[in-house]
Amino acid sequence: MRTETQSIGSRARVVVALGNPDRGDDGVGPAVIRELGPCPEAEVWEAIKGGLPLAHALVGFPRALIVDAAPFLPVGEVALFPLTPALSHRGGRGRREPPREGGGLGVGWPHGLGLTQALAALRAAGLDIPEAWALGIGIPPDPPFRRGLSPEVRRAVPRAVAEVRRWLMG
Amino acid sequence: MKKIAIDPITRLEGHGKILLYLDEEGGLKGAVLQVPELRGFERFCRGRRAEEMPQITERICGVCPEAHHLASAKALDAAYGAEVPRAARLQRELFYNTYIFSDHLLHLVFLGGPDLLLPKDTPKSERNVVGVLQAWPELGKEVVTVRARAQRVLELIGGKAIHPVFALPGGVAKPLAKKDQEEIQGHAQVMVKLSQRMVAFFHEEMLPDPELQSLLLAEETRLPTHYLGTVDEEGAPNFYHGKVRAVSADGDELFQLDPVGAMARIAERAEPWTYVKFPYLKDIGWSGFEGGSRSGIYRVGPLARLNVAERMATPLAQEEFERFLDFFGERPVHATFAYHWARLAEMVQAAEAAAALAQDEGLTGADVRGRLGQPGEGIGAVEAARGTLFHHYRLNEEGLVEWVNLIVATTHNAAGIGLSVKQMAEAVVRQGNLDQELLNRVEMAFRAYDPCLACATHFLPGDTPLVVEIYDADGNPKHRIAR
Repeated sequence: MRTETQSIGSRARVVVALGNPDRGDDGVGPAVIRELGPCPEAEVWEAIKGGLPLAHALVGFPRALIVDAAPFLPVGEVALFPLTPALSHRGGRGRREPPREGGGLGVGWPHGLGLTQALAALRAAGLDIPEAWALGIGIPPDPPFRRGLSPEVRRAVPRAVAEVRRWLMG
Repeated sequence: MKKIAIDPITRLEGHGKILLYLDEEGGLKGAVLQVPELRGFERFCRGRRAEEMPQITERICGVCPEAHHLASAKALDAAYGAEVPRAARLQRELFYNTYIFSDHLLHLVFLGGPDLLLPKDTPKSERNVVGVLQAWPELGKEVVTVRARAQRVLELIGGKAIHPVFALPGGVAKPLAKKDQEEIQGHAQVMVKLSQRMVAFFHEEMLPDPELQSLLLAEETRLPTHYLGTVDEEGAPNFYHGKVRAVSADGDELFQLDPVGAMARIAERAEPWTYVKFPYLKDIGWSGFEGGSRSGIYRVGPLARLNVAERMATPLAQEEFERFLDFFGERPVHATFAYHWARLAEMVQAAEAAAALAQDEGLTGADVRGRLGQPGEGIGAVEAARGTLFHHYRLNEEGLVEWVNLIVATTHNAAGIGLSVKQMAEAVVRQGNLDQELLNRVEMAFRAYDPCLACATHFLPGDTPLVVEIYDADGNPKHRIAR
């Protein structure tokens, strides 16, 4: 796997896995990019910081895909969401809108910015943010502290990998 | 008794929520913050290899992994009896001050910004970070740019911008290259300049605002408690190392000890309604959820660090500290919203400290790893942006983790946050306004502390809701308010 510090040359696309492998199914994002294997057409990162630091790291990439666990989806379901507000009108196979509580940019959570908020902030500041998408994989809520995926979520990994490959070609 | 649950979370932050308890007359009887228990995490770590701990524990929080990363490394230094070489220590300190700068800047402008920089009547749709950027476009752009520079410093030292990996037991992974030091020097100078600009902005644009003055000086936002924070040999706040000092609500020193001694002065109160244990000063004792000099409840974080300090460590920060004390005219300062101002003074110190550390010729030294002794028991403490963070490990003879205890900043502040929330919500609840106004007031009190709730490091769907659920006397949900 390449990291953000290793390959600055090709900055067309980036795939970022978010999630905590120490919290069971929450680690499905990193599991997907491990399964993806070498990926010369994009940079592939595993990140433990989200929000503004991650948004900053994405600046300059035309396209970004965030692979993340999604407890609001049925367990094992794989779905692609637009993260950049301007993309919201775009639909298509396997694409859906993430659920929102109150929606919009809001004030976010009390301790940090969500990634969509952070991207919007950077765009408002005049930075060149990517067309960002999220690939969500449904997991049960409130994952425990343990290593390894549940069977239902593990079965979704090949479908998620296929979706990442489709996104890379798109 | 009616119960109102304010849930500012998705699953990201586990079990964190605010509960408001009403009496039969509709008044506010009590308020508590339920923070997620880390006990599951502590159990999960048993049996892991000790050197994995800085990587594992940094995943507790996707916002401030730097704090856990270094607290963990320091606990391992102690557990192995390792002396950290000077070059490694300089790297860690530079990294850590940059993190404090970056984190405080984020909070001041983007998280606290909607409270501090936008008028009270700003429409809900604009009361956010983009609203701040639209209201103050030049400042906003500068903040974004300088934060990116700070992020670059963290990447150069930490190994990765979004995933620090450099700290190891007894030191760090590799020497810092000279060219990286030179690049960091440039970034650090810009950080200092922005700090100066932020100070000027605060005094010219923010402090004159009557709304902010009211928040800072109102009796309903004043909460006398004891305070805890780390100071250096000169009595100045130090984020990375030093003695843990406690002062009473009256300003008297209670103790100044190394982290081992300080942890021994803290007891934890268990309550049946929450997983979290409420720390209090053992010598004073627990007398319930109340502030004041006879209660053992104490607070940590920026305000606490300034309250336990005799001075600041750097010249510009010292100037701001003096203005801070002049404004409030008391020591300790008990105003909860003074956390924001204290955060500004600390941000200045962190930037100045980073600039000084970046100039140190020892920073690029080749000796970055001390010799490890036999594994044993160790406590590591740092001042996270939100307050004192303790990691306490016991290792077996094979270097495997046998037992872990973590006391995180928000746990120290859990009782204080509950009291502040109660103060802010009281009048609103009494008027029967169980609506967005309640949500706003509670959130402002909550956010002053910048509480850190353990998360799973991911951010789908990207926004996190703030939800208030109101229960009737029988515990049935009656009403729900969502942002």
